[in-house]
Amino acid sequence: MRKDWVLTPESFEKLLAWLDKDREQAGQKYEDIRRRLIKIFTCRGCYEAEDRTDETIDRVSKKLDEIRDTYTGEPARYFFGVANKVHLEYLRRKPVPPPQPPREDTEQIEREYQCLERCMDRLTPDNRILVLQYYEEEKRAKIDHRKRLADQLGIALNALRIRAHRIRTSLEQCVQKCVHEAAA
Amino acid sequence: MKVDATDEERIRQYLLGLIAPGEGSQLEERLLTDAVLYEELLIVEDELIDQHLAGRLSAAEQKSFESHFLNAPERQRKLRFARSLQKYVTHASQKTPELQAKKPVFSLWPFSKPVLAYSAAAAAVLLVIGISWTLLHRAGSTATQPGSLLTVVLTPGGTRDGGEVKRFALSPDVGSVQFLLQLPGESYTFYSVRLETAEGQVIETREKLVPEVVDGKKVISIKLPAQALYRADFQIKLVGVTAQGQEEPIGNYPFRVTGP
Repeated sequence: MRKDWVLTPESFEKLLAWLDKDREQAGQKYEDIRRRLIKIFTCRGCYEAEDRTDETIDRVSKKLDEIRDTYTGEPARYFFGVANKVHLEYLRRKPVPPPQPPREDTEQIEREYQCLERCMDRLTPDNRILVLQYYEEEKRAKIDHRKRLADQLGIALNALRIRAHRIRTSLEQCVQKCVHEAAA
Repeated sequence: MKVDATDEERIRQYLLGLIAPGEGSQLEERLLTDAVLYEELLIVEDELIDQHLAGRLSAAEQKSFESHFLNAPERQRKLRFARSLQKYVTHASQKTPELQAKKPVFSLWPFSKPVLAYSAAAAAVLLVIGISWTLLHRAGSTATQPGSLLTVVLTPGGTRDGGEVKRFALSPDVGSVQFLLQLPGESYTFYSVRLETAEGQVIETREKLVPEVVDGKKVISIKLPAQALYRADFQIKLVGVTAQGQEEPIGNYPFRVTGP
């Protein structure tokens, strides 16, 4: 990939200022856009999703002086347009070989499982029970079971779904951190 | 923006690489600007993995799952995690078969929905737990959630520097959020609060709270696990309880969770 321009601290500050006047909000918007672009590139089957996202951000930054005063839409939409161009160019280039299929590394799997046990222990008792109850009847009357659980908690089924997802996400992050620390 | 069943199905097709190109592009543009839709995508991603493990994908879906969805290393890691979680849940429910019959801890708390059929013994346990819990909170308990504590000061009506609703983001390291509700003036014996979504769905209620003084101002302090909140608009309704037990609404404290 040809890369003749890089994001400097100054251009990054300009980018943030374009995203929002409030720096904290701007940082949040930047993180949101970056995370979502990575997901979009991934969903398109791009094996270099992070690289293509950074390339998109670099290009938007480079164009910023030209567009800042004239572009009127949501900045995220501009990023989307640039991401589409970056993706088209990616498709035209020599195809990147797909990543190696996952190796069944039993030691790694065991390490992750031990980390999961530790992370489950760190959950609050109510969150731990929620995870166990939410996921335990996957193969049985799952919908009825989850409806009952939502009723018991006094929340809507979708709110339960979101709550379970958030706990699961925090568990995943905890396991990743634990595995990383164990390897260090 | 709300997510409906059509969106959910569209996201599912998108994740499996089965969506028409035009539709996919529209969806992607919305994903970049709509936080609720993006969170829905993350949820459906996990659900697809669970359904794959449970053997509940159709033959066509299974094929796309293997040839398209699983190509990303991130998803291969998520699949490993889902396997571990499934194994853990299976072991835990075998070790504690009573778990299936057990009510969640929330139902034991004094602020949750009443359960009609408790035995006398269960009621006694409930009372002890309820009193202990209330005392802990009245004492400004610091019962810890994993992760850091985020403190958010809210004023009645949510007006702050020009009438904006208080906004804050929940970074992944935040384990719990402490809300400090500034009291407008008159004192009551106790206070109750109710956390609701913008649509009025009750998420949490707390009763018999007493004020604390923080930075010279009287506040009601409540602490919630970060998992109870997600990216959306909420409000906390504050009610004062007189010595005679009469409840008087004091005000609403709206806020918006902007991330992650």
